[in-house]
Amino acid sequence: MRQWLVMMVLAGVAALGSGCAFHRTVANAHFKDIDPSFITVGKTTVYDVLDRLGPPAPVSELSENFRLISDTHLCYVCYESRRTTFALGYVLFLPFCWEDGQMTDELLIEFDRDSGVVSSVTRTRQATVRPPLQGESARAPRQTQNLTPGLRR
Amino acid sequence: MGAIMRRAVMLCGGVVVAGLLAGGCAWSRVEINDGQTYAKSRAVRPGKTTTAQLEAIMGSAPNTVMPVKDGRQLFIYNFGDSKTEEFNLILVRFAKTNARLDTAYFMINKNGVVEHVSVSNNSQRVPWEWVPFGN
Repeated sequence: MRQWLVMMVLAGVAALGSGCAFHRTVANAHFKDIDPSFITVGKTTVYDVLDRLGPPAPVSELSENFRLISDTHLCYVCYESRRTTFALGYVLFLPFCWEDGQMTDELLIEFDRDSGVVSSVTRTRQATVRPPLQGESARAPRQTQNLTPGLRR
Repeated sequence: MGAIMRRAVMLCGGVVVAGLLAGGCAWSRVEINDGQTYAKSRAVRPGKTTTAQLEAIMGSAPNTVMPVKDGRQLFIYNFGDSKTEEFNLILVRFAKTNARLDTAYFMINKNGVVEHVSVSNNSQRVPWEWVPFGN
């Protein structure tokens, strides 16, 4: 009797556990490592920044170009998502899917509208979690750091 | 009877273990737009190349045209590479996608001549990875 129970549990695990998937997507990871220390506030121009760092790039849709550049800013973005899928018993249930996607690193360089030189640099970092295995409480606090005071003038 | 049951349990356990262990890897790759954009952009000469010549060199109209101050325009071409590696077991699947997009900026002055060129080339070395955990 006990052996039958074990067998049924094993069969149940095999049937119900069929199709757990863990997926992670990272877009533009190289922008995480940008070092803006070469910038001199009030002197470095947009062309200086572009020549040194290259242009910003979208992470999902090409329409993001409008968000990443303007007369007054350049924005370098790294995106990450973590998706977990549980397809419990393909025949009996639809799959359950959880996903958390964040702009994990965003470097915003702002320029003076008239002179076109750098006026401020800000970095924002936001961690991702893996729901449902991790809840919001596991997420590290969002960090926004004004880098301008540490740059040359 | 007990021996048969034990054999059945072992068989079932073996099937579950095989299900956990058997599987395979998969790789998929998506190239976004023209992979030759970086090479083509080297032929553009700031101060000389016109808008019409730029589009002839690049082989297409830009993905985005953005008006900027002083009557200038920014022509933007995007390209890149996305690689996904999967490690598939029957009961569980691990996958990671690494994507890198590049951009070519061509600043066009009000006379229709390219004033400045800025092109990135980060999508040449996108790594294959399948572990979806960690930082």
